[in-house]
Amino acid sequence: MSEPTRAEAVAAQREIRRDARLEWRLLWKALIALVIVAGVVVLRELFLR
Amino acid sequence: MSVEWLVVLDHVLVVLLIAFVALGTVPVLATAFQFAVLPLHSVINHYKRAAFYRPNVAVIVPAWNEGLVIAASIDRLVRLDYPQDRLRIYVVDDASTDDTPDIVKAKAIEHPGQVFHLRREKGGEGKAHTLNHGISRVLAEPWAEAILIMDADVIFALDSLRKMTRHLADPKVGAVTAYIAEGSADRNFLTRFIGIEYVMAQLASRRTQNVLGAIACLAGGAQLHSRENLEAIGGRIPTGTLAEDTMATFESQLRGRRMVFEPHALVLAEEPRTIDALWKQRLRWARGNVQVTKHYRRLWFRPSRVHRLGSLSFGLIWFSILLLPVLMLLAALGLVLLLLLHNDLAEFVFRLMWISAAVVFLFSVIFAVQLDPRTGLRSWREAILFQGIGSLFLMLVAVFPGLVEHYVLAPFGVAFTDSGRFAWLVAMYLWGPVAMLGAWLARLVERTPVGWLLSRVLLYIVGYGSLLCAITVDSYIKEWRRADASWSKTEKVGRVMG
Repeated sequence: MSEPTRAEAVAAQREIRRDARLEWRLLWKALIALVIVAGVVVLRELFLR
Repeated sequence: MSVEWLVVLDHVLVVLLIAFVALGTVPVLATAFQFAVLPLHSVINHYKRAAFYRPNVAVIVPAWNEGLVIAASIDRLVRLDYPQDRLRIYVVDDASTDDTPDIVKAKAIEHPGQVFHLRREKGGEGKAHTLNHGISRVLAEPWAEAILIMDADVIFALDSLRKMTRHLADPKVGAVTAYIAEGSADRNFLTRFIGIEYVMAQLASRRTQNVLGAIACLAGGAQLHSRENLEAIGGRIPTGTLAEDTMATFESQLRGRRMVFEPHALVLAEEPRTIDALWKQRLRWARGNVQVTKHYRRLWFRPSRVHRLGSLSFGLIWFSILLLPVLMLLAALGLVLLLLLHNDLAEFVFRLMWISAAVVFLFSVIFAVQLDPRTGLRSWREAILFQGIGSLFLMLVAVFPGLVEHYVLAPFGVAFTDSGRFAWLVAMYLWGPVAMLGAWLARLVERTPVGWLLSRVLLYIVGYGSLLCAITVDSYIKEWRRADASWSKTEKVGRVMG
């Protein structure tokens, strides 16, 4: 049975940290969606005036 | 009856009808809640407890007449970026009548000690029975530390298994599931709709479920259990319902084990290309969910210290999907009766309902397509038209009052008569149920010579969401009639991208 090397373990930890960091992008994605929705609401108000 | 009593009765009726419409808005609120919680996954996730972990993994592949796909699946599995001496593949051949046994036996010779052919002489009892045949063999030996349950047609990204196993380093985690993406090489309108649905239901909803601590279902195509978890639920996948995946997920969580959705582990799956095939597949899923709801009837909305399945948030998410057609019918009924009683009030409530639907829809779609930009780019039309042209039109009518009168009719010198306006309002208020009928019609016309075009046009008009609702209604009827619940397999022909 192959035993994991230290290099593999380090690479795996690095990958976990990278994927965890990727999750922070959810905040930006939510913000983009929010800004677009807000923009549409503003446009609607301008249209209805 | 005196005038005062009639006024009281009118007030009571109005409150009741508004409550009907409010209930119809619950699924919209549930979607809003899920997408509001979703960004919290950036902070509340399992990565802090994930660690480097490479257990011995036994892969169980249930196979019934999978001759077209099984060789590619095995080849892909042995190429996974995972220590090969820690990976064994058990193909459980469910009494196949095609060349599946020969192909698997050839692969077993090619990969001795790694690929195994297990044969069930009596097949057709359902996926859970097939899986249990393999699980009992795997658990009989001490070798396996984790068991990966998958479908014969799915294709795992090379790094997906190692991205799943890292969560099992935490002993509190019982199982991990991956992101099953629609992966057909020859896409059509339906598979593109499914692609968007999977982004919403998995990359968005399951991340939210990670945050809330309760997972509704481990995807049947990719569920990695720890050995301890499978042994704790009796060493077998629960049988007796059409939703064996959901039952296993619930049973694991009821024993206090955590389930994790890993959004960065990608698995491609082949999905139905026709409405009829999708209907059959989803009817099985929907009936399974009805059975699960009944089976765990003492669980809902009863918080527990052991699991989060009884939480209010999880109940809201679960029932807003299960009862969506009922809530839609209630809203339509409420609006039409309000129209008869108080025209102005009905219009106000209608606009409020559809404006909230429009805001939530816009936010969720924009958010969702960013979660999987590849699917978002190739399926942007289906993302926009997910709720259908009809619903989009209603959203526009609600958001821009007077749109039809001033911008559609007035340029032609036409104006609504009283009866015409009444008919128009009734048609709009009844759109939800009408759209479900339209989805049902789309399935019917699909079999006609021009069905390929008609069904497609109909589906774009009524929306994919209405199709899923119509299937849910069918599941109620089939369950109520106790119709034949034998397991029928979705046909797979190996269309997944390599």
